[in-house]
Amino acid sequence: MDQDHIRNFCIIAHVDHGKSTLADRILEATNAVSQREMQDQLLDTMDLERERGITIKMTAVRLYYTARNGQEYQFNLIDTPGHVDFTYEVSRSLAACEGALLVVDAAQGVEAQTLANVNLAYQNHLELIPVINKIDLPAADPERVREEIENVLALDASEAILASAKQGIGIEEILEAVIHRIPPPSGDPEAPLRALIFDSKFDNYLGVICYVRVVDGAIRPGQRIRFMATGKEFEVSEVGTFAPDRRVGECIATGEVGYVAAGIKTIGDANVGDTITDALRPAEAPLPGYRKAKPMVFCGLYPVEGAAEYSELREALLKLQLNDAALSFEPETSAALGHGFRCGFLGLLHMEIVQERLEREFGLSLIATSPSVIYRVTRTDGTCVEVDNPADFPQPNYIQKMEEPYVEATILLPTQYAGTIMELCRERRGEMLKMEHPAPDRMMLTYLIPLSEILLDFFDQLKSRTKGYASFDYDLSGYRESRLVKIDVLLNGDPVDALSFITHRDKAQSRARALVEKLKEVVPRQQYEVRIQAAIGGKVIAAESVRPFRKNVTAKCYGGDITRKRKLLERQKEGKKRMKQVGSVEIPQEAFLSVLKIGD
Amino acid sequence: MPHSTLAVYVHVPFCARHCAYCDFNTYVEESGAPIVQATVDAICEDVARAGRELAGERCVATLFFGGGTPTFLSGAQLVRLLGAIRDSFPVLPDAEISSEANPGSADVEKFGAMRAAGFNRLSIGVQAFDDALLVALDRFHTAGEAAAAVRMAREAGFTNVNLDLMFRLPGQTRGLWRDSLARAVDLGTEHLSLYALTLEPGTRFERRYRGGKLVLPDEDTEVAMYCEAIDVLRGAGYVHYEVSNFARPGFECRHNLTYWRNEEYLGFGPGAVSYLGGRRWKRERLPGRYVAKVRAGADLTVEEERLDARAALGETILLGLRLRAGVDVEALRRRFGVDVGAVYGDVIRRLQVEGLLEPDPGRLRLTERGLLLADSVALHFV
Repeated sequence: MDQDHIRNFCIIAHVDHGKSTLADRILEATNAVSQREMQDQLLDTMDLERERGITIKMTAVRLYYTARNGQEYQFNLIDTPGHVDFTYEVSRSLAACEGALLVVDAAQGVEAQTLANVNLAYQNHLELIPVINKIDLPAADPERVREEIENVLALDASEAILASAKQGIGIEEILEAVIHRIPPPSGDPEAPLRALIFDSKFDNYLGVICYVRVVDGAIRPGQRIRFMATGKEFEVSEVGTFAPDRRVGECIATGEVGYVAAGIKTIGDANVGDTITDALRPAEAPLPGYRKAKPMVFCGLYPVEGAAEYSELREALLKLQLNDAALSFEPETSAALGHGFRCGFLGLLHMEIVQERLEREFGLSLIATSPSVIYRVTRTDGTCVEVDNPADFPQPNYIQKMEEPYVEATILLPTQYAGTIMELCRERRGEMLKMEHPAPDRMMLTYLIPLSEILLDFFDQLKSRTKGYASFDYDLSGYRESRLVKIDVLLNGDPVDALSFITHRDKAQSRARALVEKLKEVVPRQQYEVRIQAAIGGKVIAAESVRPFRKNVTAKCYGGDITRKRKLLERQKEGKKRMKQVGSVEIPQEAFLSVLKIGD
Repeated sequence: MPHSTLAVYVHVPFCARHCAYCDFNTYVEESGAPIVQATVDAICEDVARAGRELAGERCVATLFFGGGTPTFLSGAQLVRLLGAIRDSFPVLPDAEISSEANPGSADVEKFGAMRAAGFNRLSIGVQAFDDALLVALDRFHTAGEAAAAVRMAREAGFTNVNLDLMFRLPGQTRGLWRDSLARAVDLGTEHLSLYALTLEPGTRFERRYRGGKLVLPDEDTEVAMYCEAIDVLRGAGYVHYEVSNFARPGFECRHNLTYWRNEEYLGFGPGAVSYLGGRRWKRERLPGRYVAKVRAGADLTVEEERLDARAALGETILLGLRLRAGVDVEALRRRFGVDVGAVYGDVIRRLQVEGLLEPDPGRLRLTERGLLLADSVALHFV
């Protein structure tokens, strides 16, 4: 197809504003799928995505649309992940497009993610078509939303399309706008190949499949290709498109979107953002914007079953990593929890998704230690270390300077909740940068907050304090000097490594107290007193104790009671086997679980 | 005479009232209810059938009527049940024949009839010598009636009498407990059973406790009550021979010793458990169904397990540790062919170091501290 008749676009929206439903309608309207085949929200393939209503892995679909002017157009609809943890992946998929449909809920208006995505779209010079969706809802207020789009997003909303993806209203208008308002791709068919990888996934038969946007030149089976960031070379075994089912093709031409398979074994060789070029006639420079996905949040993952599940956990992590270049892990040993892995994630949601997939898809039961960010510690000898594990935190007397990562957080909320949210941000050591009123009754707050402070139930608090009306997004803003301490938890004097954590000095006392109190509830009484202490260095800052049980003897044990008694003891003995021994103290797994679950 | 002996238990599953703490297999009935007579008839038939099956292989050394409330039955019914046993099994001349009795249903004529028929031990469920506590337990007798029941037993000729008392009761102070102990010692019965209140699932007490409506003495108080009882009764000449049981020398309950020594027994009546030939089984629990099955000649078993040597060894230790005399290591070797030192050496040494087991190479025996934690110790042997 000639370049003039190609349109590459994506849909950007806040969670639940109707992105997937609109994608489904577009697929229907272009006859890519029949009504009969239509499964709600076709583009989201994983169960988890359907349940959480978010898109984790994007997909690209090729559609053909015959416009009112009688001409046929090739549409490449690229789905984008909808969460801040995947900002980089979003930015790469936006870079594969010339335009985007900006979907805003007619009742809820502009939300924090909408803003974040629009900012990314600006950076990628995308043409934006505002779509005010769900106009059929009783609470719809398109005029107010139009105003918000203009005030918050600084977009001309006079030509915003009013639609209801659910009812099929405005769909044709949207498709026509794609043709007339989004420019066709500009690229040089004669130039050396340059193709942007905006997604990749592992297929058991084909190896790694790269989703690419060809910017210059073309890509064909048999071609020798080079990945410019890694320098690795492969021979293309197959190219094609998804429409939405896989269609093997002969070529992906300039401006087109499709997939490439080249017998690539590991996903780390085909990183999102990398540029594919022709190995025999390479381009001079790669496409801009590549960076390697870098984990920001770390935690230890340990199998509840101990050694028996350790190798299963490793296998499962390896399998997930095939499709998730951002997931990192390395073996770690804890005195309290045994053998496990220190895992790195893009963010909190990414961490939760990985944990859930490990438990759900691989049937593992896991204990996760407190999540940690990467702290930077400058030692007295001037050397700097990055610490993502409390175990590696240097002794206080060797520390010259400590820094922690901050994020710039954007919170949109109804004005009535401003007080409680400002209070929350203060509690979390936030510094207000901006306070704006994008619309009557709506407020937009911009805060600088330590990343570590939003790891612990910040989002939950935000939602519960605003009855679910606040939206939140954040972007990393760099490191700032901070006064940090490492808190150790000791049981009868023995440190429980899995419970150590790093926190700000001002939070140390309250967090330590909360932790020892929680532990007091969950550590079962033993034959001896159990002293629970939280300490910084050698100094105890909070302590509790669990009194020993003094009497544990069945009062009556006669003929009819013996079986029951023996079975009870057998069960207790079985339970004891599952206990973790910390020094002289036995702790049930559940105790770790409930302690590690606590928030602030 | 057959040379091997047997303990026999008869379960009378009826009470006039249901106590708030009790989870035994018992049903509240009117004494004249048809199911009561039907159950007595069925037990007699049950006994006769077992007697034919065992065909005189065993003679009865101890016989225990428990419940429920055996004295809920008439004297005639009790005498008839005892007769049924005698008809089907040889009973040793010096057999211990016990029955539980409730002070509320005590009556001197009934006791007399029982004594005449051959009952020679009575176990009276006093629970407390304090009327307010008895009300709290939903008992329907008074402290005075409890003392009267003991006198009636004496009058009827019983020279071996036990009283059951409870501690850790709601509202019970150490002073009240001391009073109850003193009253019991004054009455001078040959045997005393002192039970810490246990909250059994499904009982009214357990529900109230969970709902925060039942306040019990704390653990320190409970431990103090128990230890004080041990001291007081020892001073009064009782031998503390099992976790909850005290006796004047020679008056230990021989029937219950069978359980703690993990020896064999046969149980008759609804829900009764038997242990014979490595098999432990339970009879149908509901009186109505029990009666129907007996009449139909059907198998009465509802639950059963076969114990391999390993499980039986564990049980023998778990039960034997309850005895203050403990378990004889040599006896275990003879019975199970197991050298306890080889199997449990490490555990035993640790428990000795922790001060829970006596450092006695010939016996596994709990220290006083170990006695309070008997279940924690037993855990290592099951």
